Amino acid sequence: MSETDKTWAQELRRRIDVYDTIEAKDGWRGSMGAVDYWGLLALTVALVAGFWLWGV
Amino acid sequence: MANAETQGAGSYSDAAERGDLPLLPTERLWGFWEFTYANSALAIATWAFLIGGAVGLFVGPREGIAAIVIGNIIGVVLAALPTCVPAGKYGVEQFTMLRSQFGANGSRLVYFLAVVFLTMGWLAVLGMMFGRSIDGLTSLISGSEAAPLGSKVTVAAIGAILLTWFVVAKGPTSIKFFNMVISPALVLLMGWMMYLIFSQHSFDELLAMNALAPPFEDKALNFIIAVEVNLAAGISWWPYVGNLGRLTKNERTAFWPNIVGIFGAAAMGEVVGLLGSVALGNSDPTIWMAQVGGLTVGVIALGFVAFANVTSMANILYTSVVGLRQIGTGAIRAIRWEVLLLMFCVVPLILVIFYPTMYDGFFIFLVWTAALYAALAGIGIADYFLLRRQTLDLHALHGNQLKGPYRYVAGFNPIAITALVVGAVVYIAVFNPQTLESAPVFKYLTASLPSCLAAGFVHYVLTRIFAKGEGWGDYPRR
Repeated sequence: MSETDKTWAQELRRRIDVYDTIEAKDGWRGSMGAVDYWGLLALTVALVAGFWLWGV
Repeated sequence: MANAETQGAGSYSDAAERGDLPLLPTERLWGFWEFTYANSALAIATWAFLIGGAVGLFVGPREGIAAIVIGNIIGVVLAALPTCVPAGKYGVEQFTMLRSQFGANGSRLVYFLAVVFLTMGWLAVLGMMFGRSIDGLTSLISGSEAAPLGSKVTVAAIGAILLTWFVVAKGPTSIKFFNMVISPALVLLMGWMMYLIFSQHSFDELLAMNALAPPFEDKALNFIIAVEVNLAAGISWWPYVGNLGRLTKNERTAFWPNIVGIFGAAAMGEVVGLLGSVALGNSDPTIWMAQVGGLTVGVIALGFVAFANVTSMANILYTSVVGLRQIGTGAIRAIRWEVLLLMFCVVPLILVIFYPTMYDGFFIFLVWTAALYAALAGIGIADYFLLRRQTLDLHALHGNQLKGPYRYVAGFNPIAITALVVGAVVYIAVFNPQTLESAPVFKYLTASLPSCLAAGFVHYVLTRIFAKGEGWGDYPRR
């Protein structure tokens, strides 16, 4: 393994460690939660049903 | 480690931005509004006029507006869920993330099917649109008849593709400049076109107008085809949105702006295209724009649309070739940037020369692509949300693909590929984009939804049954 490959591997390791730490602490900020998914479902159903009734 | 050779002492942040490494949360700078602006700029493009015009062939404005909203919201949601949510969480490049579903070589295969063909097709269609805009513009000035299939259009279309090649070969700075100017100007053009259309017809008059060329007597069937065209338009963002979403701060900022930006902006542009086409009696925006406001307005609008096409073409060509180098082998990365770009333009050049009628039936090409994207969306949702419970192994994604848990069979996951084939077959069995023939279920479910469900179901069930062992994706046990 060349020196460049080694430093690349270290950098990759460092970046993955950042995510492993977040995962271990369950510290994900701005995650999509139940409110987001239910809101998305409600919005989609409202737009589909509303425009279906209006347009057809 | 292939990318390490090209990294040298360069910045790792730059490498992460290009997709070689996962972006760290601190490196991701786009918030909600930045991403909304970026994807609005991408969505507000000349193709929106084309898609709106195509909708006007099948249904009148009232049904058309409904079809645009219904198709686009479903399509954008299906495209953004399996791409932007994981990208927003891990900052991973979209086709690197796809290794977890298809394997490293499977991801390359999907890239070729999903990005290369789509981009080549759109380059040809937008090149032809440029040609027709120039032809319409010169005809307006000279007072002669436009010839959409004439040699002038072909020469201009070839010129547009070569101009795009030249702009992209110069690098991203020139593209950025075009984007900054063209996107806001297109919004102004849309507003201006709306003003001109509404100065000639009231909203009620427009809503009462008929479709230009409905293919069937059954109005419900025509409506569902219009919905399917828009579903195809919405879901065809699948190859592009994930890599934009990874530049945002978190899952929410990676997902929700698509609903405001891509859905909202594309729907607005398509409604303008729909109203213009139906009010002026021609689905081709290069024809109706020449008629809507007289000589001066026509010349300005067509001249602007011609060059706006080059911006759209430059965006998709640049994104695709950057991605190609990212997922490609060492041999592809060794090809000079300008040469690789030119090689990418060969097929679009052949299409504009030998298949100029593709422009008039471009929606057929668009709907064909939905057969692929609907299945990919189903597989992505089943894999990331149901099978992996939203957790990816970053070591496996970026490590040695010959030894890691995502190695599958020679780098291909046969389960995901089977699911992809099943999804595409279901799509074509339900709705044939070439002939517009459909199964009875199409009128109730469209073709994209059954295709998406079938692909997701097959991927989920076969993975649960067969994907065991360390080289088979390392799926969590129930």
